[in-house]
Amino acid sequence: MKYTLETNQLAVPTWNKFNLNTRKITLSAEKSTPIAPIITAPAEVKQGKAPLFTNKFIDILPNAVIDYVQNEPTQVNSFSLPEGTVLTVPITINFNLPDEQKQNTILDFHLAKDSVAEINIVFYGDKYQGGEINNLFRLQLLENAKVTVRTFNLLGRRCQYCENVLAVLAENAQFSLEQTPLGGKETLAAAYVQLDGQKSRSHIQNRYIGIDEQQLDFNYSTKHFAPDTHSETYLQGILFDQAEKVSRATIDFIRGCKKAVGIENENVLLLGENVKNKSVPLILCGEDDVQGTHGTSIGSLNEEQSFYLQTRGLDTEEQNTLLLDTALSYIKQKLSPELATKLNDYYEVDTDDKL
Amino acid sequence: MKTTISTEEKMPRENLGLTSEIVTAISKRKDEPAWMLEHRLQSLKIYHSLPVPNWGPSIDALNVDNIVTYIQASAPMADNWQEVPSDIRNTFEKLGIPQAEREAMLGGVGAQYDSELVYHNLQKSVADKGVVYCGIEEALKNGYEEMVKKYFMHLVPPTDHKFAALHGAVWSGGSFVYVPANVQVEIPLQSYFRLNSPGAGQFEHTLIIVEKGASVHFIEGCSAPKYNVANLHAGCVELFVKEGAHLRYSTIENWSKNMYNLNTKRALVEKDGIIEWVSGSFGSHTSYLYPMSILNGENAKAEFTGITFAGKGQELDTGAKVYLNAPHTSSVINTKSLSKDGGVSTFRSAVTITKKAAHSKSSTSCQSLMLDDRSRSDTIPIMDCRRMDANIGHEASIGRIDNDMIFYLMSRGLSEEEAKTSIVNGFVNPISKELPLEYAVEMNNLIRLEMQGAI
Repeated sequence: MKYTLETNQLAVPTWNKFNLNTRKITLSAEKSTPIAPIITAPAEVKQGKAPLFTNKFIDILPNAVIDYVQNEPTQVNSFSLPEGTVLTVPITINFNLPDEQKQNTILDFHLAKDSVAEINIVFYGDKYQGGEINNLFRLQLLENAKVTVRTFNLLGRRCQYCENVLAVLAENAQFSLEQTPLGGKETLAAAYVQLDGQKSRSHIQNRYIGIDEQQLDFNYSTKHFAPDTHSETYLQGILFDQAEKVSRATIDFIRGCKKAVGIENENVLLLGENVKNKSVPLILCGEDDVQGTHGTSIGSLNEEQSFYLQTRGLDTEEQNTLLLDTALSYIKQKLSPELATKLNDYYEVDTDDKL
Repeated sequence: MKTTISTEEKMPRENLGLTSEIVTAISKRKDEPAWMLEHRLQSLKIYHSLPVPNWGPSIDALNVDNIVTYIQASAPMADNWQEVPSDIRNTFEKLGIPQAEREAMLGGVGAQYDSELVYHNLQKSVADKGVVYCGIEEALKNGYEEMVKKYFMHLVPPTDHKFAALHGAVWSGGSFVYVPANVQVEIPLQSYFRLNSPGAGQFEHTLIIVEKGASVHFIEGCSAPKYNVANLHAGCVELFVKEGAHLRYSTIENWSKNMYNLNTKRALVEKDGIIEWVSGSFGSHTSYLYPMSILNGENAKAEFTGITFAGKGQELDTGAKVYLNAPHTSSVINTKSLSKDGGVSTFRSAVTITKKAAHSKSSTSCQSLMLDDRSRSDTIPIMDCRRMDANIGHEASIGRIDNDMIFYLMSRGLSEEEAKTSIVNGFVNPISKELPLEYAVEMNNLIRLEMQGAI
């Protein structure tokens, strides 16, 4: 049996003909035996196997896929940091998944007052694997807590992958999310952040590379409820071949969030003859004493830049490889050597120096 | 066929609502060709089959069955203001239309009152160049039927959306403009639309064809008195800009705050053609307004400059759409919006670059100013790009007037209200300077009245 569920809803609907108001994905009801992650965490971190939060964790539009994962998880891990805990090494959570794995994973994180952590979450497998992976990462940050979360999708080229990150921030909390959704044939990534506490801050970054016939669909929403809150959302990526990408980014200033600042920025490099790019950056504003800005830039190398590289002996294909290599270099710095090598293999990048 | 004579108006009005009998009666009264009646009836069927949009501001309070779709004028159209009934003439005198024409600031004028054109005139110097500017119904009957048939609702078909279909069924009045090849019309042509009856709709159709190498500036103005019942404006503007032609289409919209303004405007631009839209939206209770430019020929260009001011009780959803469908096409969208006293201003845009639009460029800029914390301002842009050699840029910002700026001006002797008005005028200046002087003055007056809360 299969379900067709809607997710990645645009915060305010618009013209239906652009097919941007939601994303539909088809999921099968059957699930595989779940694969537990390999976890490396300092001793101060309290771990559990039950969810920490209820389904009403955050105020977002109805989302059938999030509801589905919350109601039917197959793998749950929870992590709590006591008050004042400052981790000096990251928590790493690695999932090495077999071919055709079907899994709903919930990872819950509770960071008590004044705690600090870095969390790296990686999903990977064989380059040509299939499967259906639905992930829900929920974070609650109490007063002054700080967290940097890095998620990497390095799954195979036949996978369907859906990742939702939900975060609620109390006063002066800081949340930083780096999503790197590289793998999969159909890849959805989203984050919904609620700035409940005064002076809370959110920083979201998505770096993506679309190749072959990959379909990428992103949705980022930050709601400013409290005064003096600050959010930044950056999307940066390259599309090759016939890749398709939809990105939605919403800054929502709720009345009462005086002095809030929200920034969105997207840069898309188009390097394929048949790419498709759709960008929808929204600002919703119910409060006058705020600053909201967004900017989007979509295009290819301009003629001058391309000409310069040609004078250095690089034809178009080599220029594209250079750009890909540059994008991958940044990502590889955040990965273990083993996974960095996997990344090279995934993109068939020659590790010898070409220049 | 029943007609009712309202105590407020002495003109016969059709029954309320929307039936094939009403549509047929409208067509018969206008003595239209058979194909137009067929078009109306087909549009009516389409109207009944389409849903109301599931996005945008709510129009739940609009009941089309309570709208009077046609009100016959009490006198035939005149080409001399003295022949226009005095009550109607006085209305337009207060709006400054006859004066503008007298002072030779306009090459031609059309004035529509409720459902019909009451006045149309074209300067001889313009007519001598072969320019045609007349009522569209007059064009249907006086030698331009084939041209009207060729273009009428081809750019905005009734299937486009529910209110395009409504327009197709009950359209009445509007202007037809034809500019022959290589003719430059140096003085603007203007149409003014006045909806004076409570509970009525206006469904004028404007059709402009600018032939190869020609140019013209067309100005449209609209207003209505305020009533406690809803009025509806579902007009349609279709612009055909041929190879190398240049059309500027300016609108200052000041419908009353009981008006539902569901207007559709679209331009088709051919090779080397240019369309410029200048749009000021100040009125209406609820607006859906997104002038669209289809750039179908190589090197075609579109420029949209707009301002929207949403005050108390208003929800104005405005913006622009551009469809780049040929190589080396380009578009620039530049808008400003203000919201005050609980008004809701939404900027909604769509830029589409198709596979055919090699080396195309598009730039969109939207700036929003909120004048208090009771209002809303939303920005909902879409960019859909299918070419790797395209270049798209978009930027938007939302904020309030800087308190330091207000303090500075007040320290120079201005009251707080004068200071804010001055800052707002500065904010909209890039838009107002695109308008002919008298319209810029009108726009500045509207802003001043909005800032005072007088309208």
